Amino acid sequence: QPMGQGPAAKRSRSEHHHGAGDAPSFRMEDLPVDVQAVIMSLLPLKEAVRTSIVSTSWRMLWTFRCNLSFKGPRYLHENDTKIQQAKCIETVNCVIQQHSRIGINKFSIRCGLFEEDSVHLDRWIRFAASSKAKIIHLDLRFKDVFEEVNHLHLEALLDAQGSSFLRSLFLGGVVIKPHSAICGFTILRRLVLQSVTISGDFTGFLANCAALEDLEMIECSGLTNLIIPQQLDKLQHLLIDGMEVEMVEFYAADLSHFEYKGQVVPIVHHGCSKLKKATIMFSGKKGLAKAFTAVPSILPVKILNVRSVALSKYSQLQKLPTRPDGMFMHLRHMTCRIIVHSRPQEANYDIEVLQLAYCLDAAPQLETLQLNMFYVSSSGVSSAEVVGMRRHDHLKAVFMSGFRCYKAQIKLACCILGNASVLEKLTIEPRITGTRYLGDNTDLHKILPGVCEWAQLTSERFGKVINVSEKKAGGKTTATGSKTNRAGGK
Amino acid sequence: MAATPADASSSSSEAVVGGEKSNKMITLISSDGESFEATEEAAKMSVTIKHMIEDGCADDGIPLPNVPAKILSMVIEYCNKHAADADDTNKHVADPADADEDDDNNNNNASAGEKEDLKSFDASLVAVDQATLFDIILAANFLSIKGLLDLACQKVADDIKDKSVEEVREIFKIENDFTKEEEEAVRKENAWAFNE
Repeated sequence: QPMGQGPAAKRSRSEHHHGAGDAPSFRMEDLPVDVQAVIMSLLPLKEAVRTSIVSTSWRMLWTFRCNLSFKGPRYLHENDTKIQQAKCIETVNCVIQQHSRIGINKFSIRCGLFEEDSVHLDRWIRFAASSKAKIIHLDLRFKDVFEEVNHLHLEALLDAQGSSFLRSLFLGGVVIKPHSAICGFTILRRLVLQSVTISGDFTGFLANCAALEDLEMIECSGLTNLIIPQQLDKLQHLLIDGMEVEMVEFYAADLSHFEYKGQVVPIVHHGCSKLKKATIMFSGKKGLAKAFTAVPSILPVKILNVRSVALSKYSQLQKLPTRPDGMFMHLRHMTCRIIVHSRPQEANYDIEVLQLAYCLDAAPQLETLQLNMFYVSSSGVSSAEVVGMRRHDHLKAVFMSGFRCYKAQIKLACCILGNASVLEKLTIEPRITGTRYLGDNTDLHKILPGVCEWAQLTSERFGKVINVSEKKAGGKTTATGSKTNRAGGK
Repeated sequence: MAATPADASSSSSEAVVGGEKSNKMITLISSDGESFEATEEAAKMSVTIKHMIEDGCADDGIPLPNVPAKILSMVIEYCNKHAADADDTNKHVADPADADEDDDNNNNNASAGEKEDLKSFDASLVAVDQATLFDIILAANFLSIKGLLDLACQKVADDIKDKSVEEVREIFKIENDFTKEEEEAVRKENAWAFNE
């Protein structure tokens, strides 16, 4: 006889059974409510709702499901967008009407919304607020439309007492008007805004979110400057992507990871830095060099990711300052992604690859370097030369993907091999990795022999180990190496 | 059907040197009076028991009036098997260099073989009749063993998933006590879920 815990003893339903003749063996209704909610949450929403028809005792189980996620069409200009969208809205309304409003952990809607649907949006916000959801994800963008039309009132996310249980908030494709009198988001830890139009006093609003640890702003408009106030002293991660601001200023005394993608603007960080990691992608010319020179606040980092899309060529390599206060004295690990995009037949179209050699000079303590390259166009002339790269006494491991023996790649590799005194191994991989671009990896078998041959000769010339990695699904295998007695990848 | 001392000691001898790992044995007493022994390490997978040990209430054995012997032995088996793995996972520190998007996940704590082993053990543990599964859930909930509770709940969800209503009633031995009108009403209420 199973011992039941939970609600008071119910009359056994064994009398109603034929067949095996025993009492029912699994009484879902006798499980603790929060366990029921867990089980319901492990089913897809549709299936959970369908359990309501199993029996009267199962009817309301799904209404305690802790996570509610809805998906609708994301692109306006597709055939049945209107129909799919209407279906999605109907489903959301239906579900939230019946839900118990108890125990909601995550409430998520990803569906493009028209301006006339704002009445639904209001309803959804009211539901989210009254159900004390911890995580709210509202992505109302049509990805092929660039104007946000859905107004969202941040105050509506607060409950009747003006407070909020919200820990994590994602807003996409809305218009918001924050101001400093909105102070209910006291436990908000994560705030992500994507394609949001912001007016009003954003900095003042942020100052009231003192628990914030993660702030991400992607392609938002309406701000001239982005100022992160000093009240955000728990902020660990700050991401700024594609914002057309003139200046970025932050205090964020505890910041550990800073990410910036966009135009080169002044980036000012007040106070002493605990910054460990930075990710920088500057658009425009000479993105790589600028990443190393334009943001003094990131100098203390231990880990640096730089991205550069080399769209236009330039003719002069840039040497970096070598004063200690201009160098990355703590940088140990660097990843770099360069996409070469210049028009074919241009001279020095891939000079950005060579620029890396000089950038490395600003990181004398570097231990590992991972370089992912993708040549979108590969016919051109490469005539720049690296002169006087500094010696590196800590660089142990270098990895290069997208390595196909283009001239600049060879020059860079040789510079490193010649100047890195303690280099244990250089691993090169013709395959294009580390980028969301759909690179062409189908001709690898043609390229590989040439790369291996180069690796062999160069390895002998410099007396260093060069592995050629031919990555297969589920792990790396080393193809022909050279002076190597070790198999294995990175 | 107690967990044998051999099981207990083999799991603790596999453990890597580290913190406060005692080989102290804890006695757990089922609702029907049977005594079981488990290492402190395994027993502490239950947050409930962990607190009792820390509060010093565990010296004369811990009575568990809600857990029958048959279930308790399965619970202990689970804890023994997972205690060693949990320890390894806690020890591994993330490599700061593994920052990039495309990296392989080279941070394997247990080897792939051990992970497979654990997975098949878990699967066979919950491949039981519904009554036993029900009791495992109650026990795991009472003892606050998250891994076991998740495992058992997932099994229930898997038993429901992709099945028709009749099949679900069959598996869980449930009578359909809706009237025709009630059933219609429920279907209408959530038409979106019932229409394919």
